[in-house]
Amino acid sequence: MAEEFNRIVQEYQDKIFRLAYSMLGDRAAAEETAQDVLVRVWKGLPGFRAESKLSTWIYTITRNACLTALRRREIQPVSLDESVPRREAERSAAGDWGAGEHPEAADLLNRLPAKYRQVVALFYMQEKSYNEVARMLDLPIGTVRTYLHRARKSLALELARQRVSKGGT
Amino acid sequence: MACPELEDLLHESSGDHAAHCEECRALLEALDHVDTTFDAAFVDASAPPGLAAAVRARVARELPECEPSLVPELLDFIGWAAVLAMAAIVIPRFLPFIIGP
Repeated sequence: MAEEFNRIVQEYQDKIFRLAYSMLGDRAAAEETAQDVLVRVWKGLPGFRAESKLSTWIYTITRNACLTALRRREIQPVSLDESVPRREAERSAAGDWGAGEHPEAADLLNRLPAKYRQVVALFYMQEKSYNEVARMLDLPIGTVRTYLHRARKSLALELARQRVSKGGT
Repeated sequence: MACPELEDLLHESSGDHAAHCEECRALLEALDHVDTTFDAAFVDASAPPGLAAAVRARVARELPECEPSLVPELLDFIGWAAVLAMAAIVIPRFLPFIIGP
């Protein structure tokens, strides 16, 4: 099992970290969550029956761990509402981005609705692979394309408006 | 704000149109700026170098907790002991009826 676990760590550590980073918007929190996820994977590995793909199982653990972390931080009180279906809560859950090393990117992301943020961030982290983003967030690929298109367009329109108004004054 | 034909132009070469339309040019430049900003921010979004080592250390620390538990064995023993005790009480009572006088 140790060999299998080492292989999983090597193959998935970046993806788990990126998924957590895109949901939490904070590198330190993403690292902590990625650690928790890999420890959970190690504990759950003997009972994993391969009824689902390994990647699906790992991404589900990661998303759940991020939701728990977000609830703990009370960033998204809406996700605490039991009347909100879990999938909907998951899609709308995303932490505000701290300025960190890239304040401009954080500022752009924070202008977006929460459900677009993680899709946009993950898309650029995952070398612009729609398929990979869809798999990691468990969203239809069409939804990923739509969210990205709307998010980029809305940001570009806002920036263009600012530039034109600055140029006009 | 943008001209209606912009959607098509975004997928094709838009140089000619944008050269004559200030709003569309601003939008295309803004789109480019968005892409460049995110590319720069997330190009190195890899797991920190110490992550794998930290996970292995945690796993090693938690290993003793995952040794087989004695609880199921104990419960199994208590269950069988109860069955044998019941048998020891019940069988002698009914033995005369079974064997006969």
